[in-house]
Parts: sequence; C-alpha cells; structure tokens
Amino acid sequence: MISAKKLSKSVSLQEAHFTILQPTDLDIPAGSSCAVVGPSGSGKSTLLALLAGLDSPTSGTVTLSGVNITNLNEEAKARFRRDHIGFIFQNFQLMPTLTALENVALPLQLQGRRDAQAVAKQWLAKTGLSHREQHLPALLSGGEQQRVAVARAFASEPAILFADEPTGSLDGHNGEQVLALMFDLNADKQTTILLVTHDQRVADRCDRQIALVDGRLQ
Amino acid sequence: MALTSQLVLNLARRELAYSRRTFTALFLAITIGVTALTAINSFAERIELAMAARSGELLGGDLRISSQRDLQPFVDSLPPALKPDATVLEMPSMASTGEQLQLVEVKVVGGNYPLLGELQIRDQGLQRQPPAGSVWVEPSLLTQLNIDVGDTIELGFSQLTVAGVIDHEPDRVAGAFSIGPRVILAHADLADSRLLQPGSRFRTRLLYGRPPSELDSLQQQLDKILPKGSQLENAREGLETTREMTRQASRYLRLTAFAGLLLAMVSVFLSVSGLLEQRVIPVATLKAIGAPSSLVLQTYLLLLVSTALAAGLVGVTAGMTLQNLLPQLLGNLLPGDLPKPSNQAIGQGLAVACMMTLFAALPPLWRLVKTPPVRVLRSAVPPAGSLFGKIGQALAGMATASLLLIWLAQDFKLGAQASAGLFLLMLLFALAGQAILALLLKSVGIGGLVWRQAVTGLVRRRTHTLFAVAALATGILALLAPSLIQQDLLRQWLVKVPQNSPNHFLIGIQREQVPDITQLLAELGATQFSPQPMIRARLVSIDDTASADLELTTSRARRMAERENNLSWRRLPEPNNPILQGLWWQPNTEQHELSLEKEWAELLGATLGSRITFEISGEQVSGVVTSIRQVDWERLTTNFFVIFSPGVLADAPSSYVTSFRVSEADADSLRQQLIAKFPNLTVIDMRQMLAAMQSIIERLASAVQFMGALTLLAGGAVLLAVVVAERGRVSQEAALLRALGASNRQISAIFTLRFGLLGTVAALLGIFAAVAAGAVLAARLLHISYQPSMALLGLTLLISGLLVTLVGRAGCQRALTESPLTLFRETN
Repeated sequence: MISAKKLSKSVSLQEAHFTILQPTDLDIPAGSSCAVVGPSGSGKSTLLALLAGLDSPTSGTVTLSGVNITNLNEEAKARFRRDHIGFIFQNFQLMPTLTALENVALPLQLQGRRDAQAVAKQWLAKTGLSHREQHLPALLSGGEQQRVAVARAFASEPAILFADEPTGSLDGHNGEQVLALMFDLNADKQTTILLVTHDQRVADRCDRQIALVDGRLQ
Repeated sequence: MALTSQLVLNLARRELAYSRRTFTALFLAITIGVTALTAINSFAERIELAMAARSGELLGGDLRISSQRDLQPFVDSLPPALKPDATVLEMPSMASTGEQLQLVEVKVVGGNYPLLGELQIRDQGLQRQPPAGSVWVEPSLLTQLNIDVGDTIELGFSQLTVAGVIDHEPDRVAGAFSIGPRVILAHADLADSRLLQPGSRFRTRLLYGRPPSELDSLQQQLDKILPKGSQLENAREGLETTREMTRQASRYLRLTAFAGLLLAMVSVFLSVSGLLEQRVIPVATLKAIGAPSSLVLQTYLLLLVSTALAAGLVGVTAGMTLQNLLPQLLGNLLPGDLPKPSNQAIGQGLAVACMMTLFAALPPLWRLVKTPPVRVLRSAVPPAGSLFGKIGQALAGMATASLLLIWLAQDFKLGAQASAGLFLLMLLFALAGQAILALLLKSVGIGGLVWRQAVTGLVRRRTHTLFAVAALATGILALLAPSLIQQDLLRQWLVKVPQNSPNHFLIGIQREQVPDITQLLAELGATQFSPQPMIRARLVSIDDTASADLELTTSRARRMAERENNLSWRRLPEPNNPILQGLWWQPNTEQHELSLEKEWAELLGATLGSRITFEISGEQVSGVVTSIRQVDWERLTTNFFVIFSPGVLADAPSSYVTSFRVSEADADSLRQQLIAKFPNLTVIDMRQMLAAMQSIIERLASAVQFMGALTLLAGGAVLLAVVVAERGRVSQEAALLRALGASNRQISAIFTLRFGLLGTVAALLGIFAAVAAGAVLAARLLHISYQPSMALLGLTLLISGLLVTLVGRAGCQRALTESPLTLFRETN
C-alpha cells in the first residue's frame, strides 16, 4: 500500500518561497487504483514524484509496501524502485538507443534476472507488439511506444505502478487501448495503481479519485 | 560475465550504434590531437637524442675554444699541459681546376683531429688528416669541378691532389648552412697555400680531449686565460648555439602540438557534452526505473575510454608515420642520421588520448550521472547551474588542460606559458566573435527570413558558435602566419634586390693587390666595384662603459657587442648612405671621427659625441661619433656598421672587399681569370647564395606549415564536433520550418548562410591574428620589412569560408531530405 503522512514540498526561487504541495495525508490500499486529478500546475506530478521516491519532500514521510522510503539515500531509493515500482510516463520515455524488446527487458536486467529476454518477449506479446521486438522507439508510433512502456512497467511485476498522464500524448483509440491494457494487468496482478490525469474519463476507471487544487488535497 | 557487466556492455554497444556520428567526430578529434602530439613529440625527441648523443662529436672534443681570430699566438703562449690536442680552422675560399671554379669551405685540421667521432673517407675507412699535398673533398665538389679522385685542384697558391671523398665528418652541424662543399686540408699545408692573410675571415677552434677527471680543472684554468672574443664550451653542456636553436625549435613544435591537442580537447568536450545533453531524460528514466548511478557512469566511461584507446592507437600510428616525413621536409637542415624514436611516444600517445578525453568529458559526464530521476517528469526544466558553478567548471577544465600540457612539456614554466597563451588567444577570439555576433544580431531586423534565421541560429547557440570560431581561427592563424613571413623573407632577399645591383662579392683582397684587381675587374667587364678596407675589431667600450657592462636589452644587441666587428675607413661618404644626424668629416681631417649605421647606434646606445673604443690586433683605437648614417642593406653593395675617418686605421692589418656586377655571360670567365691570377681571393656568387637561402627557407616553411596544417585539422575537428552536436537542433529547426511551410530552398539557404557566416567570421579573425603575429615576428625576430600578400589573405578567406560552409552544410543535408515527422520523432 501507499501511505503519506504530512507530506509537503516547497521550493525557493530567487528569494521567493513557493509551496507546491501543502501538508498531505494519504492512504491507498494494496491492489486498488487511485487517480489524482486537478488542473495544470495543481501539484499532481509533484505528489506522484514524492510518492514514488523520485523527489525528496520538504517535510513528511512516504511509506510504500511497509517501507519508509523518506530517509533512504538516492541509491537505496533506486534499488527500492527497481524491486517494487513500475512507471508509465506521458512522453513514454523509452530508451532511444534500445530496441522495444531491450526496453522491456531493462528493469528485469536491473534486477539481475537471467530470464529477462524471455520474460520481456512474453510481455511484448501480451501488448501485441511481438512483430516490433527489434525496432527502435523512433520507428514506433506513439500508441506503440506507450504499449512498450506499459510492458516495461509490468514486466518486473511491481507491487505499485505510478502513471503520469498515461494517455496524455495519445489519441482516443490508442489511449483506450493503453488504459484497457493497464487495468487488465492491474486486475490480473493485483498491482496498486496511482495515476495522475486531468482526463475525467481516465479517472473514472479508478477505484478512487483525489483532487488537488493549488497544492491542497480537496 | 556478471549480469551488470553484460547490461553495461549492451547499453554501451547500443549507444555506440545509435550515436555513431558523435563517436566518429570524437574519434577523429582524439586521433588528430594524438597524431599531432606523437608526430611532433617523437620528432623533437629524435632531434634531442641526436643532439645529446652527438654533442661531444659536434663540439669536436670534450672542451672547445672558438674564436674568429687567429689563436696561434695564444696557443704558443700556453704551457704544455694546456696546449690543445687538435686545432681546426675554417674559412671560405675558391677551389679551381683552371677551367672550373667553386666556392668551398676549407677546413684545416691539425694535431690529433678528430678527437671524437669518426672521419670517414670513402674506400679508405676511418682517417685523421689528408697526406701532405692532398685534400679530401665532399662528393658534390667532384661533380661541380668535373674531376675524380686523383686529380688536382688549386686552392690558394697550392696545387693539391684530391686523395679521397668525405663520407662522414663528425663535427659538421648542418651542411645546408655552409656556403660551399667541404675541403679538408692538413695544417702542415696551410702555410704554402697562403690562405691565411691579414684580415682574412676564418674561424679557429682549439679542441681538447681529456679524461673526465681532468676536465673541470682544465676548464677552470683555460677560463682564466681565455683570449677576449673567444668562447669556451664543453661537451657536457653541448654547443650553446645548437642547443639554443634545438630548444627553440622544439618549443615552437611543442606549442603547435599543444594547440592541436587543446583544440582536440575542445572538440571532445563539444561532442561529449552535446551527446550527454541529449541523454539527460533517458538517464533520468533509467534511474527512475531503478538503475544505480554507477551503471550510467560505467556505460559512458567504457564508451569514452574504448573510443580514446582506439583513436589513440590510430593517432599514434599516424603520428609515427608523419614524423618520418618531417626529416624529409627539412632535408639536410638536420644532423644526418637521426636515431629511431623510442617506444615512449606510443605509451604517451595512448595515455594522452585517455587523459584528454576524460579531462574534457568528465564535467558533462558527472553532470549526467548526477541527473535527478525527477527530471523524467519535468523534462522542460533546465538543469540548475549557477553562473558561479559554470565559471568554476570552466576554470576546472582549463586547469586540468593546463596540467596535461605541463605534464607533456615536462617543464612547468613552458607548459604554463603555453596553456596561458593558448587560452588567452582563444579567449580573445571568443570575445571578438562575441562582438561580431552582437553586430550581426543588430542586423536581424533589416534582413529577410533567411538572414534572420541564419543569424539567430548562430546567436542562440552562442557557446558552440564561439567555440567553433575560436578553434577555427586558431587553426587558420597557425597555418597562415608562417606563410606570410615566408613570403616576406623571400621577397626581401630576392625580389627587392634591384635589377642592376652588384651580383658578386670579392673578399680577401690584400692591400697591395687593390690596384691590379681594380684594373683587371675593369678589363673583364665588371662594373660597380670599389674595394673598401675591412678591419676586424672587437668593441671595447662606449663612453668609458666596457662592452660587457653596456645595458643591452636585446640578444641582437648583445651579439653585436660581443662579436668581431668589421670596420672600414673612407675619405668621402658613400652616395647611397644618407646622413641622418651630424656631418660627414672633412676629407683631410686629423681628428679620430666615426660614422655609425643607424640601427647599430640605436642597439648599442651610441649617439653623436659618443667616444667608442675598439681593439684591433691587441691595439686600442678610439673615435668620436660625428655622424649617423642610413644604410640600405637590400642593395648588395659593401656596407659597414662602423666607418672611421681616414688615417686612424691606415696601419691596421686589413684586407679589402668589394662587390661588383658582371653580366651572366662574362661571369664564369671573369671568376676564372681573377682566381688564376689571384688565388687568395674568394668570389661569392650572390645568385647561388640566394638560391641556397631560398631552399633553406622553403624547407623550414614547409615543416612549419606541416605543423600548421595539423592545427587547422584540429580546428576542423572542432567544427565537425559542433555540426554533429547541433544535428538534433538543426533537424528540429528544419522540421519546424518545413512544417510552417518554408521551402527546401529557403532552409538550405539558411544553413548555407549560417555556416558561411561562421566560416567568414573565423577566417577574418584568424587572418587578422596571423597578420598581427607576422608583423610582430617580422619586427622583433627577423628584422625584415613586412607586407602581407593581399592575394594570400584573400585566398585564405575564400578557402576557409568555403570549407566551413561545405562541411557545415553537409552536416545538415539529412535535415533537408527527411520528412518533418521523422525529424520530429527523432528529436523528441
């Protein structure tokens, strides 16, 4: 499960002080899905970055699957993410130098798994991209790239999946395909999902929605 | 193999395949840097090894006293323990067969010559001195006089048999600088030849070969009694002049290598930082999905080090091949058989390849490794970096580059000076480039779309533009400056010699021969002759300040104060020497008056009214300066720095010298008849001398240009690095312009104009710097007038502008042929 206590983030820019996220408490049960909604600049991505351990909070704690990650150093956080977290990003963020298959195999290889290639092949097949295994991301369409990203996120079977505007760069049809894939896999693997979106139709598919306005949880 | 190693290897392999253009640019830059360094270092090493191994041999003994005076009285006065073990006299003279005539360098050897090294005579093995009544000669003399071994030649008043051909002469420093082929004569035959006359020009060397234990004490004793105007040198320290020349040449060569290396480092930095900037988001993604920082570090270190090693190997091989070309370019300006370079250059080349790559690549790599994973969500946010941090990084980069140069120079001062000079030069270029960019930016409003886009593209990526401008300008400077000087040197000596000026010099005329020779010259069709007395003298003091205590600021002035001066005396002023200050003396003056040449007076600090004392054959003679003259040295007539009023030097030992002009048709016959009647004379044909000078200058210039070309190549590598690093942005710009409806022609014109502007700005700066550097060199070092060739400057501007445009334009070709969608996909 995902748990945050009095989580806040402030930044100082040219002597001015900005609070991006007001102190927030949050609990998302294991296996459930939660959408963070809100207008642009409301602090959605900041909340996701803090919960996923990509950024450090100004105050408060984050506990993921029972581990308080707040005080871990960067390398320990990276190890935690490697073993417990999957990501899907708005701009897909595939490694441009690696083929589709290698991109999916990457998190498995980071875990040191010898069967990385074979497992990656299975996941690519599940996303319907077996014929694209050896293609570089630049040769794939946006929808295909996001399906590779979904395969990469689920390949290591993480306990938690963070998704930042997963359909933000896709048209309706491709967006629907990716969402279906994501929620099917969620149901299948009992993955906890936290996704950030400003698309109400996407948020409606989650078990729970939380809204952020001006860094404050509504 | 561990799984992590496999992953590192796979990531590196994929990066290499994906970014092959960047790695090609990186590879080329390192290769060029290492090639320049290896070629120059191993060549310099070979020269230094040759000098070290042969310094005793070149000196002719363990200790040497040299002078331009006759040291026989000094030798006669020495106690037996201090008497030299061998003596050598060198002088120019004429060798003839009756039909053919040739200016030669006579070497008269006595005692146990040679003390060190081997004198090798063809088919006769190692020898010491030619048998009585014979000479050994260099092979070229046989051809020039059309004779064989066994024939006789006339030398001075002697008929001598050519007993052998010299294959190797141990103490000949550089044959190219001598005025004619060598003739070796035994000391016992000198008197009969009457080559040594009062006022003759010659060099004496007294040589000592002693066990090392005796050398220090011998040197101390000789130092105390050394005649004035002579030099004492020992083999341990080497020949002072040769050592200084070698040191200066190596310094220049190494500086060129440093410039090449520094430019190569700039291109490595540009290539690597351009690539790593594009990898920020992928690395943030890698870290987000759990990759440790070490994975990123290992992947890129593996790529950089293996590229550096491969390029280093190619660079070392190319450098070793090229350094073999340098001795060929320089020909006989170098001591004959150069030793082979050591293998040290190979190790050094590889080490430098790795170090230059890591020094240049580590700052951007470190920034990449430290990329926070959150950037995967905020890709638009530029990485934080304060101005202080950027300055710190620039300073750290400069410091590491300086350390590398200091290590390579193996001399803190030289390395520090070289790096400071190079950084300053590049900074000046960058500042000038910045000023030009500001001007161009102001012009944006008045130009059309093409001009606006071309200029803003340069200004937007200011740092890259300025790096490219500075690097290219440095390369152009290194290539152009020597060419400008070379042209002026040649022009000075060849073109400016007036059409009808004298073309021969006649030296060694004895006083009693003057009337007969004057008459003979007139009979044989010579014109413009006027024998002048010439007296060898040493400067003692100016206004009671001893010559050694004069405050002289330049090495040229010191040389003038120390060397033997040629004085003359005249009744009437030379018509071509205008008087600048004071008045010429009355023809019948009884005062001891002096007329000085303007530059001599300035260098030694003498003015009207100065009292100057000279020493002539042990006697001191003084005079007061009453006039200062301008001498046109470009007219090949007999001129003197110092002229006395008549009467003062009338009894001093003197010879006479004159220039004269003779038509080419009459020249051979005139020379033969002169020497047949007066065998002691030396005739110098100026055409031959000028041709020899021209050949020396051309060789030196081609070697210097060879180094300049390497520097320019390194500048080209920087341009390539800029083009490759900018490819992504260029593609994005082209895609955007095309998406907005710009035609291919317009886009092509934008990129052509942009690189054309870059090339023109760099070429203009390089040309200005080369003209300025040439002016400084011409005024300070070579003392020649300086008129840079406009044609050469124009050609440089045209060629560099065109080359930069073509290379840059070629780098953008793909942006013109691919669809906007493909380009957008690749760049996003």
